[in-house]
Amino acid sequence: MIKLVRVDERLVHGQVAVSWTKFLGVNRIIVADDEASENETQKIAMNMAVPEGTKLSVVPVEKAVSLLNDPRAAKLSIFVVVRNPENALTLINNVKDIPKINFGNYGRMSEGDSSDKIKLEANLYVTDAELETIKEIIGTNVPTKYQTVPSEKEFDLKSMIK
Amino acid sequence: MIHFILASHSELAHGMKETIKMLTGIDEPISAYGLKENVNVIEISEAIREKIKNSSDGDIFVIVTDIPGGSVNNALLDLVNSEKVYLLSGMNVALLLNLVLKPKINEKEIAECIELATQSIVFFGKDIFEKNTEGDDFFD
Repeated sequence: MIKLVRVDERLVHGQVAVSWTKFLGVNRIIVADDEASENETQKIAMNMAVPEGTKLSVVPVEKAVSLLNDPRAAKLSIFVVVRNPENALTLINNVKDIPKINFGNYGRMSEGDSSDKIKLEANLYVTDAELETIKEIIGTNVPTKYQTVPSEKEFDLKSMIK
Repeated sequence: MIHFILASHSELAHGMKETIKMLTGIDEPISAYGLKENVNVIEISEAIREKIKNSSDGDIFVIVTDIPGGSVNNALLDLVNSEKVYLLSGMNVALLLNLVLKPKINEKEIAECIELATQSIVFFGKDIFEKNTEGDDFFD
């Protein structure tokens, strides 16, 4: 079963990956990202950040959908990480039983000047188009939260959008 | 307040302080001592003891040395009897990073930092490029 889908532009990195993986108690991590699935160096770097006993798969979004919809996935405990709101929405629209979307770090590193973006929180900047995607995600009624690390407070993303 | 005392042979402690400052911005609670030609282990030991003696109630000292059994570590060993002091050896960046970012320090927190520091020592063997992340063994 899927425990959480996280939107984080850095995907799996350092302590953030460790803290979420341990907090969720998962045994699988899927990075659903077309670009990263082609990048050998990035895959190795991400593997380094994954705690022992957790298997990481870095796959294109389409393959992530098929893995997650496989009946065998029900027995596993899965943490899914995507790069942007668009990929999160693709998963929601194509995968059953997504319990929650978590927004962590987003918008500071991804394309475009962050000064042109709307600041929703300290670590969450979005473009107009991304804001529309986020509204669409919220509209699917999958709980959509903002929380950078498990030890911090969780906020309803809906309440952060005016 | 939690004080971090780095003590090493030569420049490691000072360099480590600079590294942690660069990565976290944390500077003031960290002090560094290095054995050099003109600085001996007795002077370092005395300077650290003086610092601890002049501290306030509730202050905590986390002393991190470079190597267990080294002269700096040996000279400070008896300090573990103090309620205020935690002594560790084997300083590395991950260890210090985790320590300075902890809101509180106790034996459990230190054990956790050591665990994370140990995990940061990684051999990048040639087989690293063969590790499967393609999802083929996802259900295995």
